[in-house]
Amino acid sequence: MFNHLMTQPLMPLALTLGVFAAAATVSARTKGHPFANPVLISVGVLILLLSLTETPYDRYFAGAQFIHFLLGPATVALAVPLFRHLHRIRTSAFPILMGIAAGSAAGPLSIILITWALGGQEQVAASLVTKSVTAPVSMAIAPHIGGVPSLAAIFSVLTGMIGAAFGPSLLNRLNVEDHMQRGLAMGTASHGQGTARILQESEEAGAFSALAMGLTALAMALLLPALSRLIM
Amino acid sequence: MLKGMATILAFQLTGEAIAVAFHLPVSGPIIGMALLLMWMQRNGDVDKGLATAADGLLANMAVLFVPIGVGAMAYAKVFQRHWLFVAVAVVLGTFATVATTALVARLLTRAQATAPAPQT
Repeated sequence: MFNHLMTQPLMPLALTLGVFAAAATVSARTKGHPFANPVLISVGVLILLLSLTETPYDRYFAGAQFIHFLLGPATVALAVPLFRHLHRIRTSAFPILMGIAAGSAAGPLSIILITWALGGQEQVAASLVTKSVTAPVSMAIAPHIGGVPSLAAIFSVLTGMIGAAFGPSLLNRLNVEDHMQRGLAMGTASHGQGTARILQESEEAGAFSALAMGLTALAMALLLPALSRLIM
Repeated sequence: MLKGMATILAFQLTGEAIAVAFHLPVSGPIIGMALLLMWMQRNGDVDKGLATAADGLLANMAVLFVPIGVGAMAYAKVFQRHWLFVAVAVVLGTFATVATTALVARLLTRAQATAPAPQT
């Protein structure tokens, strides 16, 4: 019966929203503890559920895609908080652009260092380089730099989850309190997922995060293919 | 609200069309976001229905990442073989990016605040 219900969109949809609602309650009870991040919990619980019931991912996604679809419109909607905070973006243009540029460079550089230190496999490493940008963009860049699109996409999602869960506490530890700086860091490091997380702190932080994720995607898409051609 | 949603979809569609037509490596929704921002700037205001639709979507944005996150299960083999490398790279790489961005932005904001900055 479970398997029959899983063939219709209703079951995956209800499961996704239900599990997420429960995870959000847990997260609120633990006062937003990083390990109790709702997305992290939901993904874990759903993977466990699907594995136990031997449901293939494709069947789950056939229903869950209706939730996934709204990612596009939500990304477009980020223009609204951006617009509301345009004034501060204009007056702080220099620190904003430099912060994003430094962070966008630090990500790939750290991957190169870690690959070298741990002797990581080349194709996996190349797919990791673009992990700080949103999945559709990292998928598009991957083949140009020797990566695998589907792996690059999953690394983007993983990075988004880790950034969203642990980014804010790292920023607390560094005593970064300013909404602009917090937002920029989250958007540069963990794209839409980081933005969704920091939007819960303040709309201002969300606006800067949206700006950062857009500019990081643009910078990586334009620069990485050219850079890798120089190196290889 | 409905009109706002239609506006958002129209901008996304335009973004996708531009991305495909010019073979851009940036995704359609990000181009749509930039276009919508320019459009609001031209109008000088956020339409009320658009604001309602956008705020509603953004308030629940986190759940939208769950379906694609579950997709990690399809890569169990890669994770099994390269788990240490992937885990270290994702965690340290992300922390390096978060810290670098925030600290550089903070440093330059302070520098700008203390120096007699040129009029911007």
